[in-house]
Amino acid sequence: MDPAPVARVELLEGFSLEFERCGGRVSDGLPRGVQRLVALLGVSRRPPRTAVAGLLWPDVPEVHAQGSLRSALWRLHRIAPGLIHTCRDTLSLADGVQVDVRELTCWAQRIFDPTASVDDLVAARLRLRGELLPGWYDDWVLLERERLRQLRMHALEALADRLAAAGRHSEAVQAAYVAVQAEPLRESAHRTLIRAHLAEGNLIEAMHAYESFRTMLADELGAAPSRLMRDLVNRLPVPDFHPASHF
Amino acid sequence: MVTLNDDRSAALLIRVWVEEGTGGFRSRVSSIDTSGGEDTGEITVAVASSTDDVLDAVRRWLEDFTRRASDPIDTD
Repeated sequence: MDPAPVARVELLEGFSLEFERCGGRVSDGLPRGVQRLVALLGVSRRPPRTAVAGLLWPDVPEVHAQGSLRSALWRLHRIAPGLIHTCRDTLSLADGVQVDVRELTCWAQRIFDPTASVDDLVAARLRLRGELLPGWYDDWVLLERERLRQLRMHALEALADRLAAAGRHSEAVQAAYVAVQAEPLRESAHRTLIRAHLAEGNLIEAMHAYESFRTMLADELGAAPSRLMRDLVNRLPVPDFHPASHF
Repeated sequence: MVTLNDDRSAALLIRVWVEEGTGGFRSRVSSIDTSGGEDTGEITVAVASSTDDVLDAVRRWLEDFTRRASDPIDTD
């Protein structure tokens, strides 16, 4: 049995495939259909061949899609032998192939693990930036991109809280800002930012963040902040600051 | 020269989330040009917090998309 190939698939910020037997990056020479095959297997675990063919070639008859899949598998095998594992009617990337999207998912899960090192989590956040396959508009890419976006936003908020609890206030504020940028109307991200400012003792920054959010919400949606936000800012020890009067 | 562009496609993405403590939802409606030309990324079409506003945004976007898709393009 051949040893598992040493390979890395990157899908965040664009497609890239590194394959050791070829001595480096091979993605530049890969036809688009082959790139899409590798990418789909990178974001899914062990899909049936029929599902892969249907997702990658949705606008042609099934028999043509199956033919295109066979062609893509043959081309990929010539360039990166052993990269794809076939088992009965399913396809998957071979064991040991690294995929940045899977690392992102693991990173998000580890944030909620109290034994995980905050240092490792911060380093991984910087490495796992970027949107999934920008410029690709296949339906399965759009759905997966959105799933990862949601996962990242929740993880960033949790990471900011962990950093604040660890006394790493500057990094906590930065993580919260990244979450806010991902969706400026998302209130939980703004609450995280305000908590991070408060943890550092920056009362004025917290008030400023609240006022900015309240104004934006009123301008864009004609809505008021939630009860949870009001509860948070009502506790601010600031004389003459009554957020409820702003609504 | 006037040509008809018959390969226009787009996706409309409606992100909706419940904002805890408000009893309602918020949403962002974004358009993505999937025609395969220049990558323009996501463009926010509307933000809304009511069903009617979301539906109005979808209707406006569809009407605008179909009008532009059927417009002849003057390439002179």
